[in-house]
Amino acid sequence: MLELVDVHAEIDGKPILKGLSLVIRPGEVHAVMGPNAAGKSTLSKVICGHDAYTVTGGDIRFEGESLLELAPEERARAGIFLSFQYPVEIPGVSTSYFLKAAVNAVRKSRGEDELSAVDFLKLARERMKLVDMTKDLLNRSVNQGFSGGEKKRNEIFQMAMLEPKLAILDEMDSGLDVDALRIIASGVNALRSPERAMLVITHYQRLLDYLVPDFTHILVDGRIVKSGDAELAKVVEDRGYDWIRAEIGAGA
Amino acid sequence: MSTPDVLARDAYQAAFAALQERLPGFSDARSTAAAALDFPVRRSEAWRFTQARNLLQTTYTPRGQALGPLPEGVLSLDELPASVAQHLLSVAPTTGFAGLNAAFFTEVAGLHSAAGTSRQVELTLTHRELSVPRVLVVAEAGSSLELLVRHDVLDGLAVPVIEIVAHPTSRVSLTHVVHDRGGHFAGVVAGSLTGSTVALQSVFSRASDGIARLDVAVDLGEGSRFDSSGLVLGRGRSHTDHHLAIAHSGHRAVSTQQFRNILDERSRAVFTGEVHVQRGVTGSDATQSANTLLLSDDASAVARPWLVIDNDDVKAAHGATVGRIDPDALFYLRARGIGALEAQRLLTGAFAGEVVETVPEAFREAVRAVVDAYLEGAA
Repeated sequence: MLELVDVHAEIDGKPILKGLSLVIRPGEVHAVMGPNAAGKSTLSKVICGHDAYTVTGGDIRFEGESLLELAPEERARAGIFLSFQYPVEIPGVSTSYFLKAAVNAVRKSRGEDELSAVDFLKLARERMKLVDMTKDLLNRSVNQGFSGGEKKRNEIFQMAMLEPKLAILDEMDSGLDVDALRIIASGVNALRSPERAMLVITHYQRLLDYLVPDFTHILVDGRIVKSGDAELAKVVEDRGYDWIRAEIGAGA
Repeated sequence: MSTPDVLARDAYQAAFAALQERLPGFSDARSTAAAALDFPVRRSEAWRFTQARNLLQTTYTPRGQALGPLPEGVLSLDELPASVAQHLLSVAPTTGFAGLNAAFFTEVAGLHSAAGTSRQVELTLTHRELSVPRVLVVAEAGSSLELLVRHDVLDGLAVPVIEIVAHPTSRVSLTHVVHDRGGHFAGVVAGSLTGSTVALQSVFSRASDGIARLDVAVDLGEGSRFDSSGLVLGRGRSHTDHHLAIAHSGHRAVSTQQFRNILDERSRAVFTGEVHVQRGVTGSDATQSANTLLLSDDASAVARPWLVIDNDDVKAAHGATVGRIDPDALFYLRARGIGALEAQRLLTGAFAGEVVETVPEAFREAVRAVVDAYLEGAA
């Protein structure tokens, strides 16, 4: 479904990704872990087409087609969803207006009819239950004045509404207490399906207790240096990243 | 050598001399205003960022046909009772460009709100040549009026003057929408508040490259409240200037100013919010914000808060910002599938939204339609 082939990317002329390769198939959940400044957030932004980042080499393919020439909205309409590490507050735009515009933009590109206001609300109420959200959030400006937990729940709610083929969850656990994390992880687990792939980017292993990945990759200095199953995450939790750095050093 | 203001003064005074006999009433006031004509071309702090000389390049012919048939309950000059007509020319200044109106006006739309009544009125003014209509609002105690005045500026120089006399416990809201397709606009809104509540929402939707200026002069008597908001939708090489002069002359008066500019292409906006709290006046509260969203590198804005306070017992706050569309917000919307252009419109509309929300419900859709037309790039 998603193939990253020897991807090099930079921001402000500074190389961040230095030959990253990764293949994700439908139904799979991949975790990418790594120390600070390894390139984790860059990875998510580059897949979604943030224009601050330049891909200088390699290719990113989604369902066989290169994404590199596509605008962020075209990637979203193709079925890629990013749960933001820091969801943006947008004063003056109500959550329901924003989300209806987003859902209908995606539906339209799939050749489906736009949802009516009534059908949209019905769907929204149903999907909010996944993450224990209350419907008054729909009338509030997007993320404005939301607590950290509400923002993250809103991300997963949006994911549930947009029904992506690939969901990228960027540091979903940052700033959450255990209870909030549990709610959000259960929402995400409910959205796992044989057709939907997920890329879970995280600094800590904690999240992966709730959201167990099929594969774990370790990202260091812009490259995936080690891959394994869910057990690899636990090794990182116990031993940190230094032993991996040492291993790479020894091999070089 | 004669400067543009002197040339214009001479030309308009000659026109006045020729017309004088045929102008309806107020002959002394007209003569005084005509004799005192003086345009703020030089050394005027109030016009520092707006080129008054551009309004004077042509001497336009006075033309008294801005108003058209008046809606029911709106009185013409002939129909005004003396108790109401006495307020004409008593509230607004008769100097500067307003002097042209005082000298030449022939049309009046009079709104007299009887005590305890409540109503909504819409007026449309179409401006060509030298257009100098007056609107007079006299609100009696306990009355409530929501007034929408639309200005359609086709060419020439429009100098409409709106005077509001708001008696104790009355409420007046003026939604003032200017759409120009040519020419220049130098309008005046003036109010005398004695323990009353007046609101002004001023919207400029610019389609020509001319100058548009609104002078707001309000005197707040004891316990009065004046809430002003404004929205400039600029494009082309248009220049738009909001100039407010608010005098807190009675105790415990409140004034608020909330102005926003959205500027595209090479457009420019100026905002001056002058608040004067007079000596010995206590318990004043004045707040002011002026925020600008630049949609182009070539657009620009000037914001001047201007607080003149002659005593200590005052609460005053002001803030001004100039910014661009937040790239993080734009990316967030696009990452959800919303197209770049629509995302930009959504964010721009949200910026305007805060002012649109200040418009009374009865006229809010009309104002929202003006904003939507601007966002869609329609003239």
